[in-house]
Amino acid sequence: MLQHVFSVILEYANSVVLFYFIAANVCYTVLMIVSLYSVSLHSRYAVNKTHVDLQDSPVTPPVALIVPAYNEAEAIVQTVLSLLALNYPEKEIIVVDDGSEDDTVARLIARFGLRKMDFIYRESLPTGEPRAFYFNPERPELLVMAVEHSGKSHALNSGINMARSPYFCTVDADCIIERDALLRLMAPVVQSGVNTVVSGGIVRIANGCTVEGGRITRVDLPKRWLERCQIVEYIRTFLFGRPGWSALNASFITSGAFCLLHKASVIGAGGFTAHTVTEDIDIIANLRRYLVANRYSFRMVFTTDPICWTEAPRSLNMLARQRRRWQLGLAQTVIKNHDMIFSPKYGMTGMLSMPFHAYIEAMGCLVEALGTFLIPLSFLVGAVPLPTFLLFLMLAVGYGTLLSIGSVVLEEITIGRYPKLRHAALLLLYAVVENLGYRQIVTLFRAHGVLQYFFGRRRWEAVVHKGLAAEGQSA
Amino acid sequence: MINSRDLLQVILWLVWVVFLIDLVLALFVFVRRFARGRFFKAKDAACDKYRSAVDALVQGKSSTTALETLRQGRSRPERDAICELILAWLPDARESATAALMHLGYLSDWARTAFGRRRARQLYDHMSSGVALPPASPRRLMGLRRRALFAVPRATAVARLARLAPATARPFMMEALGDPSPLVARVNVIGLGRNRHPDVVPILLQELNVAVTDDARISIRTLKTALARYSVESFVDFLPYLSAPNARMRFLVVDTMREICARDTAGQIPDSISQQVIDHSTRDESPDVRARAAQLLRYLPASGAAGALSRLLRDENEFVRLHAVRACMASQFACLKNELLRCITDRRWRVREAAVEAIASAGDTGLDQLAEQFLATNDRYASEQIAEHLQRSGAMDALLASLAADSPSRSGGEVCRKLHRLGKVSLLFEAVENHSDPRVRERLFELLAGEPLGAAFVPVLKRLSVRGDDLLKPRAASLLARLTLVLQPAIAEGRD
Repeated sequence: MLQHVFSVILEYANSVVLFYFIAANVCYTVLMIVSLYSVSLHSRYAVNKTHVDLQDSPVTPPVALIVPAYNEAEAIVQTVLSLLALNYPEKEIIVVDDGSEDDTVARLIARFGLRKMDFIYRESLPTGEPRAFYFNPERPELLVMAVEHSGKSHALNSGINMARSPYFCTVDADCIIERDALLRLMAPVVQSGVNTVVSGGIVRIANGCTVEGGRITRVDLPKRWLERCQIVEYIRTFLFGRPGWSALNASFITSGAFCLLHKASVIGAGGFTAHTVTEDIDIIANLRRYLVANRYSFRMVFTTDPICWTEAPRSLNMLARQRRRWQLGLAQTVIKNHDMIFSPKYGMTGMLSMPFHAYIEAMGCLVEALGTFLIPLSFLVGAVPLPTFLLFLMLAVGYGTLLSIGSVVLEEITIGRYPKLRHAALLLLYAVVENLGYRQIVTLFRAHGVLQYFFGRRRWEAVVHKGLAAEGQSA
Repeated sequence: MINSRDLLQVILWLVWVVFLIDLVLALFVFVRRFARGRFFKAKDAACDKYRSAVDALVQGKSSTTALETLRQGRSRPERDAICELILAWLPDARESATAALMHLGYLSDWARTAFGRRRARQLYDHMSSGVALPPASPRRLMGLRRRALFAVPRATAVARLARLAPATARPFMMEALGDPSPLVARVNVIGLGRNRHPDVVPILLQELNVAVTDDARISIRTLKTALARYSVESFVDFLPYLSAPNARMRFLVVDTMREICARDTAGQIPDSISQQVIDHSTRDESPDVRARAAQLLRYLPASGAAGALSRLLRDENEFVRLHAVRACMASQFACLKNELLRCITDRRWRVREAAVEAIASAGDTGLDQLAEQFLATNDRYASEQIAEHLQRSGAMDALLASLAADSPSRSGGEVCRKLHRLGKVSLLFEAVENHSDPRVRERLFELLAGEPLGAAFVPVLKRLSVRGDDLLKPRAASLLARLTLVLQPAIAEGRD
């Protein structure tokens, strides 16, 4: 009797896993095809370099680059150097130190000759007074402000309050931005007849690259398998997930590491909140809600050519922290905005993107994690015969590899950043290797993150960075 | 009903298909890398081979021989290399580079891609021989033509045509105005602006009018960028739109004129335009139009503009006052100095800030006026705004240095005192500890010691009493002892 019950449960569980597998992969395949189309067209159009005209155009809006920083002493100077070197007509850089316990501020003061000053602080978003401002009249585009430690969203809101520009760009403190990336990020804003309130760019992994004076001077792959797998994963996310949704006018996630936002709209939406541990996903949903409620015409885009380089976790422990936080934040956001799911009021986002992110990306990892154990268990107890088990395993790995290799192809046909044939070979190899353990491990981390939500644990797990290299050394 | 054997067969076929696609995609990556490697090697070789011939052709030396040599390059890498070499000459030798591209057939290729074989032929004949251009036949499949898949090659072709010498490019770009795709329209408008064809301005203004009232192909910003490249001579085309029924259009026109004036500093604005701006635009019902008209006034002679600007400085709308204040930075409006000073106490911070900057833009005289105003005003917001400017502009350094003068200006000390009372103490405290001139440190210390001091000064005193110079150490220690009694709780917490 017990055995019969167990078999029935196993059969139903397998059906759920199988259904999820088919649904998820159909969605990924459609996204890949849409991305292939839009990304390849965009890269062909990009040769016309229409963004270059923005350099001396009077209509190119000024941009505030807001860099929230907490214990980023190793990376912050390189990040600020890369921002100062940006090829953009009018910009301001606001580093918001979120009560760092290391010498983040001291390094900035020493490197840029900053002095403590007393500026007027006007709140458009409630944050409380900052503790200090640091400024150098000979470098007027850079401002450092120190606030009480209250989290990234509070730091971002403080930066927004000080920003003078109509647009701001969130930049993570461990990022290197390419010289014309901001121009490229702004291009869809200027060239569109509809108010573009969000413009997201690509994030690439800088591990293995050489960083000098705030610039990536040599692109290379890292030596560790963990980092190489992450590179393939990032390429897949940024080259076929997000462009696909952008092409369908259904952007739901843009990376806070490098994202341009319309300041007045963000203020209207209430700014960044601490409701979730991923304030970058949360703000997009809040913005959309606010703009739809007020019947504003708007669009949110993702562009594949502006590039930001960041540091990926180098150990499993740090990777686990990162992915748990991302998944927890995604779960928090989709549950907080569950009324948007299948809501025609939110257009393609409500009808396609939200359901996808809720059921496949957010909750689907639970099913995927279950399947990781269930399928082998089913075989071991004899519920699934060996040929079926092996074939299903091959299909799962093969299809995952297909999606990864597809993203490597996308990398090839866009502005490919890995110049050597060796790089291409390694990326293809790791497109396979990624599916033989790495994805399964990350799925478990993600499932853990979702379970944290249901068990009421909501804390931010900090990822410790080693820094994007001292001058002349590899990251 | 599917039995397990059939299911296994289906899965097996799926597995084969998936692995086959994996293999094809992987091979694609390698083949593409090899092919591109070979292509760029051949292209680099072609660049080396044909560089001197291109230089000779563009510079008009041994043109016939050079042309013959270049015509030998037929493969794709060679054609691309030659094209790039000629395009590199375009900024400096536009006419001769254009002629070279024409002779080598590039122009025809691009025109064919952009407009189709027949229409390209007609345009080419019209451009080269002056043959009358027949009207374009109605285009079919407009919906498909609008799609990016088909529009991107046309856009690239039009972008290249736009780089040619203006007289050559003109007929093609005028033709491209009829293209339904926004991608083509964008590169075309950018090119039109860059080339500055005079007779295109009315067309661009018409497109702008459509863009503000309708869901247009071309963004307003793109059109504005193109228009802003023109010179003041084109203002005669702008005149009818200064009284357009749509307020947004009037605003865009005035703003674009302002941008043109900012770039074309040598241009002379026609009197008719000046009068229209002064009499009507500055009194427009839309505050956006008035605001931009205010900025435009700075490029007009003061005799006519000063009165209008003075009126706008008292406008009810914050942004109008803001732009009027900014316009006052122009030197011909020195007569409005008192009005500008009044704006330092405006109820809106942006206007106050702009007024402070406008006064400071007059150099040392301006800074002196600001210092006077700082000391004279009881308005806290005005005081804070001036304090902000003194810090951000670096004027504090000169102010502090003046304390060390043999007969220090009284106002320097008074300004420091007032900064202290406003709580803007960071630079003062930094100077009393670390200024390179000991006289500055001493005088500043005396100044601060004479003021009611708060807990913020305690850490400074502590450091001075330990690490200060021989003159300040004992004084700091004495003051610290006195302050300690008064501020015991704050000291215990070690608060700044």
